[in-house]
Amino acid sequence: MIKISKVTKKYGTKKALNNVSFEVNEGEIFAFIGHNGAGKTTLIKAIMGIHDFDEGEILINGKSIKSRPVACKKEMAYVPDNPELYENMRAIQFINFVCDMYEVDERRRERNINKYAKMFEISQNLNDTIESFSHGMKQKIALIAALSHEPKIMVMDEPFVGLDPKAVFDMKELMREMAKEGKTIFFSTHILDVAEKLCTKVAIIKGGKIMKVGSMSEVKGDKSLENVFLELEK
Amino acid sequence: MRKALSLLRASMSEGMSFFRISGRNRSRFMKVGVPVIVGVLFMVAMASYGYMMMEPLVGTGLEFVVLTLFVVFAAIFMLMEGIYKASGLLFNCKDDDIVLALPIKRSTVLMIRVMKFYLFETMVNALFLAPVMLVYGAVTGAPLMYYVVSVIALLLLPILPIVVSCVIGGFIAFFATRFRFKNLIQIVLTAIVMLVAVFMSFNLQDVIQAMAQNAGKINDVVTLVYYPAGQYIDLVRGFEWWKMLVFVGANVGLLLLMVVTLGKIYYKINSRVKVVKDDIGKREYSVVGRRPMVALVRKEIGRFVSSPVFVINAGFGLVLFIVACVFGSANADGMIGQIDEMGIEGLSAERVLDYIPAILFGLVFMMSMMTSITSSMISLEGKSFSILKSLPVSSMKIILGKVIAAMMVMVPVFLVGDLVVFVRFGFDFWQILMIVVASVIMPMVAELVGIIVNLKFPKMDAKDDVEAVKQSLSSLIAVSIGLAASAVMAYIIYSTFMSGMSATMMVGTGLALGMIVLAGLLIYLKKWGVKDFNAINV
Repeated sequence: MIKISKVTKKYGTKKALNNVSFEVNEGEIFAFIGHNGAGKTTLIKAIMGIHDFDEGEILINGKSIKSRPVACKKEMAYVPDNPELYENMRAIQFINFVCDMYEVDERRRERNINKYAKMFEISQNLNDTIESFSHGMKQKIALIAALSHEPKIMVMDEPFVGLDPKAVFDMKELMREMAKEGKTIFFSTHILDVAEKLCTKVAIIKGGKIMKVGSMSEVKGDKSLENVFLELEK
Repeated sequence: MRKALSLLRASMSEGMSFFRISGRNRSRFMKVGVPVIVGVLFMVAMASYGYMMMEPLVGTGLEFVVLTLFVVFAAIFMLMEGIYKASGLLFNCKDDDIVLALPIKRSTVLMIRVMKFYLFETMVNALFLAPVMLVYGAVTGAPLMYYVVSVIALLLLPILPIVVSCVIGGFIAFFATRFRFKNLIQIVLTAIVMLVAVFMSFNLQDVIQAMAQNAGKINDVVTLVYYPAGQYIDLVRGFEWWKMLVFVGANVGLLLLMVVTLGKIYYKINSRVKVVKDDIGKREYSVVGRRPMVALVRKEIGRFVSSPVFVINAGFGLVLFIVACVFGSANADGMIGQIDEMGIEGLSAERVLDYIPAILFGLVFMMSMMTSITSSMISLEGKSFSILKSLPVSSMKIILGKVIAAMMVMVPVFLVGDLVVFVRFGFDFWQILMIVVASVIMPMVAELVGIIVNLKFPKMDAKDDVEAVKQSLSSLIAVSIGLAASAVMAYIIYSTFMSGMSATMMVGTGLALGMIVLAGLLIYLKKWGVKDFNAINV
């Protein structure tokens, strides 16, 4: 569970996040939407302990990301918006490196790597250098690395960007499966159709402030998510 | 032309953002004050050094010999640096996709990149030469025209080293693409070229002797070694307009000739450099688990060896250490014999032999301080820093992983050099123990200083490795600290030698001080370094 309470983050005098509060519970698939520069990536990085924030608190399964960052990170996985991975490494080296950090035993990591590499149809490329990969392939490697340590909470920034249609489909199925197992899925996206069909909860952010948050039906009512979003943007 | 200027402006704003420090709102002092202070201190040191060398020559009419030496050494420095910087700055740049898609000629792209390279080298050249030029002007009471010629020379003298660097760097980059392990080939070829340059500059001593002995032919000798320097000195000694025109024409013409010639094959070379030969014919992958710290250190070493610029930059001091140990051991009898022949009071062969452990200790310290691998390790993370920060390991562990990786590169080299000296000079047990400990402690001190500097002045938006390793405030500050610390150590060795202090006492005291500094740096890193690490945003 992710609990965000009154989080404010300033860049100079500008508030990138302004008193943001909401919760993401176990078994939920939570979409975080907003236009470019609204504060989505800033909040995601704050949740992951990548960026500090000025006020408020973020709790990961009851633990503070500020005071116990390592314990919090152990329960989460992160997929960045732009998969800037270590270009000099082979894909398998990068995945092994991430698994090493999470102290995943060899049997478990082998099973998971094989499973997800097969799912994303990239098994044949795991011995290649990341430098030679396309954006989509890098995204797949970032996803495999994130999934290999069986996180309780998945935090993803634009996870579908660059993926081919088959991988997008598989990823959506996987997210549903993980939610059924009681895991927490939190991701930002610009693809409102996907958010509407896939997610159980949604938050819309504008200028660092949460404009709407709640279950999908609460937020959109009879309208489409796209219409709600566009009305808020006016 | 407008397009080219526009591109140059964009390129400079990215590549030459020397004062830009990533991650947070810094004070004006940190952004501008620190680099200006470092630059001024460096120039004051150069001016003092130049004056010290020029003073005995005042009134002899030979003051220009010092100016010549500085010009030649600045050129050698630019050439050696340029050879390994050229391939990184000209080929396979991160902005290739955007820039090469623009409706401009490929030769213009090359021109812009060469200009960027040129402007940086001119800046470095000015740091070396401008203070000595001013000292010469003041000492000789030079006319106004001298200053005009010198300013023009500051702009023209970097051209030849840059042209040679671009040609050699381009050739190395192109040749290396024919092999699967192109980075390794690039490192080996660059190292060979640089060693040849070092060898030739060692032999320059003969030229300098010839210059000192035969003042009348000085300009001929300099012209032979480095033509533009000869032209400049000629102008300093007697200004004539036609000489000035030849000086400007020859250098600018050379630059244009290189751009036009290389421009014809630039796109071809750049395309080949981009090809990643990755077909290793092995599709099975292995899943191996390691402890987090081992994995972090392996990652850093992998990053280090994947970058020719990084390896050559760090390797230079280490190779010099080995050369000094081997050369010093092999020629010890001759060198000590010469010292004896000098008959200087307090400088006997016996005393020098007794003092070898202290000299070795000093050498270990100086080469450690000059080999600051960690001063660019944070910057080299670039955008992938977010991934690293998202991992469940403490910031201190990540930082120490970088320091340990750098030490794993340095310590074995120091131990090999030490061994050669131990065998040749027969140190006693305590001396061996202290030198071995120093060969671990001193690199650690140097690398902790490097990482602290890089955490204070990170450059997370570097377009290529050259920018992070060579053209960042962090590396400039680390090099300056290294130079200053080395100068202090050289003075300490000299004064303790002259005072009659025993080598064991000197090494023991130095080692104790090193350990105290090490403890201080670790405390600083834990208290403030981690805060700096966490504050870096990408």
